[in-house]
Amino acid sequence: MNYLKRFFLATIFLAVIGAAINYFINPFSIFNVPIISKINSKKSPGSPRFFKPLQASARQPETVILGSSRAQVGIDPDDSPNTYNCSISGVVVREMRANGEHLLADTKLQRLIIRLDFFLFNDARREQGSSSTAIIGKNTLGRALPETLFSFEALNRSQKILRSSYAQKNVYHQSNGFF
Amino acid sequence: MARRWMDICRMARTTLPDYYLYMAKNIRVPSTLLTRNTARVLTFLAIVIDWVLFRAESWDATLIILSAMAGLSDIIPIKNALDINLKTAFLILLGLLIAVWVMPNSYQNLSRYNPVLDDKRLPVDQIWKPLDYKWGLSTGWAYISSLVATTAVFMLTRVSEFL
Repeated sequence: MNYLKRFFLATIFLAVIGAAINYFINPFSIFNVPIISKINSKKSPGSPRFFKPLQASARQPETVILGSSRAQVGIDPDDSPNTYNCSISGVVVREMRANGEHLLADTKLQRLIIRLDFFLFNDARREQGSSSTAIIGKNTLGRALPETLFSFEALNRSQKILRSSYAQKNVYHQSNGFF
Repeated sequence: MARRWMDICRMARTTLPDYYLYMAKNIRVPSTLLTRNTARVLTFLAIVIDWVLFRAESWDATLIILSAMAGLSDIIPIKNALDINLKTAFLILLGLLIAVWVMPNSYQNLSRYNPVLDDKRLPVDQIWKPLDYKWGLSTGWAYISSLVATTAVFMLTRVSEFL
């Protein structure tokens, strides 16, 4: 009995520690935690296909920009209030539509700005591998908790963010989705 | 000689385990360091090659992987398909080789609790591994097991790194 008690307590303890680290470092910047410059200021959240739908759900923007890399680096969401840039480089139109439906389902969206390129409709182009990691649809933040709190990938990101924040390295990520 | 060959053929026509048992009982190889280690390496290679047949998606893929394993193709690190580089791949392989050759397997690890039925027909071989630890109901093993369990939970969801 002692063995089982120790085993389960230690497992829960370790899982809670890991989740707490991921919550406070906040690698995908989706939780409402304070930003401390030496600890979690320099974010590098990885694939935008994964973190952008989550960030959109977390920010609940009124205006969202949807497009490819051209919109991602070309339209600054700070130009209008409560705006998020949900553009993803190398996107294909099916993926863009899925993200648009996610925004309609999970945010209080008032205005959607769609920037289209010809290459979005190229027949030969397919979704990139990391698009399969995207979590979209209703209640996304809740369903993504295993990935955002209880995963080694998040821990790995947290560790990188701790290092780059401590060294005050320059990163290109901004919390409004603009690159 | 002819009789023995007939015997082997008859046994081979029945099930394979019976055939191997027959071989193990009737063909005596002197147990020296050389023969034991040759047997180990042969078994290891046979299983490594066998796994390709079990895990590959198709027969074509099997042939491609087997020919690559035999050194018939160049090593081309595939961008986007693997988010590990060659150095990491070799380090992982080294770690796995150590796990296979040095650490006890799951049956050996749990041998205090008799995880398999005794089979008196099988040839008894003292299995030797440099690291011969055994799991038990102790405090230390409770903590090690919880570490393994948490690792398993944290590895359930893999968010891939590449853009």
